Amino acid sequence: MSGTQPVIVLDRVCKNFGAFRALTNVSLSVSKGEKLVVCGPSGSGKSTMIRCINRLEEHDGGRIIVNGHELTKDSRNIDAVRREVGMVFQNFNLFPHLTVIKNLMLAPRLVRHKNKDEARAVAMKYLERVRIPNQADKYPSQLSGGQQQRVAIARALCMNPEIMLFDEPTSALDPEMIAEVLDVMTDLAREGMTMVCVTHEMGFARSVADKIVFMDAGEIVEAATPEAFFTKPQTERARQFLSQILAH
Amino acid sequence: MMKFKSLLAAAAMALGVCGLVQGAQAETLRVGMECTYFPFNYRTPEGEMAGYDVDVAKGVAKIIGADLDYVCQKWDGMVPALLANKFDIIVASMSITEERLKKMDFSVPYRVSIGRFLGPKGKDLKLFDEAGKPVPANFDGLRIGVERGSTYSSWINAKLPGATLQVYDGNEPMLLDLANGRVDLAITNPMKAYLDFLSKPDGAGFEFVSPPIDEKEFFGIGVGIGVRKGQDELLKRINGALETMIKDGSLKEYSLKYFPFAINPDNWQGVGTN
Amino acid sequence: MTLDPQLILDSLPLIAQGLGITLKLLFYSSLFGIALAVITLLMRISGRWYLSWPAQAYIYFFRGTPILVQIFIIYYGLPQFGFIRNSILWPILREPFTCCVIALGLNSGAYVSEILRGGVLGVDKGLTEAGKALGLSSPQRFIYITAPIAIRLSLPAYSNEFISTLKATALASTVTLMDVTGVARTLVSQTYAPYEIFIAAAILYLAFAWISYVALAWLEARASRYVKKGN
Ligand SMILES: Nc1ncnc2c1ncn2[C@@H]1O[C@H](COP(=O)(O)OP(=O)(O)O)[C@@H](O)[C@H]1O
Ligand SMILES: [Mg+2]
Repeated sequence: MSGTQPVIVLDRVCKNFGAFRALTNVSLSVSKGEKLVVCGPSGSGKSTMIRCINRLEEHDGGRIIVNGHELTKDSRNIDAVRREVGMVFQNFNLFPHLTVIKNLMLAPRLVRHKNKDEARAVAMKYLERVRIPNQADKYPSQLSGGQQQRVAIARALCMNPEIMLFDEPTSALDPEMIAEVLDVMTDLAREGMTMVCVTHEMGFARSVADKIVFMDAGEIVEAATPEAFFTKPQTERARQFLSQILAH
Repeated sequence: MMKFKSLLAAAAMALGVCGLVQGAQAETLRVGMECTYFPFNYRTPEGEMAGYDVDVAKGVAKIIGADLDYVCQKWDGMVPALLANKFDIIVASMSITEERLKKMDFSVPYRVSIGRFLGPKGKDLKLFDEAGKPVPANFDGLRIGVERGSTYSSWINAKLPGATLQVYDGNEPMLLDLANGRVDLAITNPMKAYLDFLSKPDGAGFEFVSPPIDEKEFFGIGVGIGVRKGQDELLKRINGALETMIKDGSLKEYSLKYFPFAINPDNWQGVGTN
Repeated sequence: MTLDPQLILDSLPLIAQGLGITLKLLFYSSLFGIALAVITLLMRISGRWYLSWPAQAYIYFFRGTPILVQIFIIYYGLPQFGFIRNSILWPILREPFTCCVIALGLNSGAYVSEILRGGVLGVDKGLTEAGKALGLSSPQRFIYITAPIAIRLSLPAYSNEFISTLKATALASTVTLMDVTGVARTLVSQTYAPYEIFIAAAILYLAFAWISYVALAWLEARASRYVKKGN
């Protein structure tokens, strides 16, 4: 499934928040079609790392190259990366003042300059893909958490991205809704999407991930196949983390 | 007969002399005024009482043969003080009004209530005809500054329907706007206009553009000397004195001391209008 | 002092003649105020000191001084400068109406700018990030995401500000305008019946304030229909 050419390259990336160092020399490479799962304790820098990939955070050192565009201050590169990278947030971040369909149509219309009908057609296609076409005219506040997150995934897909970033997409959900979101993500993985997922859903990681990266204190401590990571973690920190996670 | 006549004359003489002597010794008119109302009743830097009201009071006193005693009194207590016999007459630029006439009597006016239009110098707007009557058509579209609720606004409403009134809460802002060109004309009391504006650098480019307008039904009767009710004899003597002063031109002379125009009634209209 | 209810009733239609000017003042100065508020808001959130400082200075000045003083500065103060009387601005500044609209608008703009800023700050940062992640440009994010939500969040405070502006229009009577208060004051100066006439004026203001409250509450309800009830 995994291709050969790397579409995301992080090379010794550093990120500081004031005096606090959130990322230290993070190096990483994701190939086309590869599914990367990022895990690690809270505050270890997972969000910071994934947010650097589409420049929601600006890194202070090292290089980040996404789909051939190096992220620098040059806003053209930033725009290019954002057009090709979709993102799903822990808190959904749906636009509350827009109906579901309009949430989905907004970016294709403004960024891809699609007309109303094209945008609507694309939106409906992805709403069906996430299995909620009948909620198109509701406002986000009228949907359940799981439905909202599926809308958020559909919204990102409407931009036809090459890469999808997920930052703990199921952490804010009630347990009974986690599965419906993971199902959609699994479908997406099967279709060959390049994915970087920050998640603690180890079942999902085991079945979908090509590689697991374990972070702690702003560093990548371990990177391995799910099989290797779950059966023979190399570090004490990873072992500890796994025992906590799996105890649930 | 002759003897009787000369006797009478002698008696009259004696009475007259006696009266004079009495006046010099006993009749002192106490006059209430603010003593701070320039240029009507005020103290000169030397401490002398002066002003148009003071001149009128002096003139009246001279004719009726009385001495003057000035009593300085704040405006809002002026009428009560008269009624409480703190003084005998008020000569304080007090307008004759219906309200006041209920409590006290007034002499004939010694100063008239008038309004005059002010405007920029040298613009021959032909606002008034030869006879001093307004030409309403020539006021059309002009903006005229007036004080809120003043009698001038009633007059304009009645006479000049084509003019636009701009209403001010005081004379000063109105004259400021006249100077700034926000209004084309302003109508006000010419004395105020002269003191506050025309005689100052700000008013240099402006002048009166109307004759004095003194329609009593709009502007009232004027300013008179106030006396307590029941003092008919005194009132009669004061009116007599004012008649003399109007006829012999002394009032006009006094008014021209303070203003470059007359503020006195220019002819005797008799007693009884009020 | 006895109150004459008949006089209140009789003076209502007279005072209502000033309603036109009051409402025009309110309309134009609110519009002008909103325009100014949006401009200064953008200046403040631009992140550029040379835009943000003047905007802050403006807001500070107009929130920190009485409207009456602002009206007097604009109406009586500016014409003291000959160059202003000779400038192309004079036809505007000559008119008491436009002077009041400028003063009230500048004042309301300062307050509304702060209200809108509060609204903007109240918009969840995550929504802006979602917009960024979708590739929306900064103006697009502002127009399509931040602004509509900020406006809804600002409506309750704006409704108060609108009523404040309504009440502030009464100050226009000090510079010759015959608004509700101007007419009322003139009537008082002619009738010496301040109680009845000012009560009649108050009734008119109250009635219009009430209409405004209802209209803005309706607008708020409409703008909030997407907000989840009960949490
Ligand atoms: N905007 C920020 N300002 C300051 N510190 C931050 C900011 N964002 C994250 N951090 C800090 O950086 C560290 C890593 O945060 P984060 O990447 O969110 O961790 P994770 O997603 O792994 O829980 C944490 O200690 C967090 O407090
Ligand atoms: Mg996180």
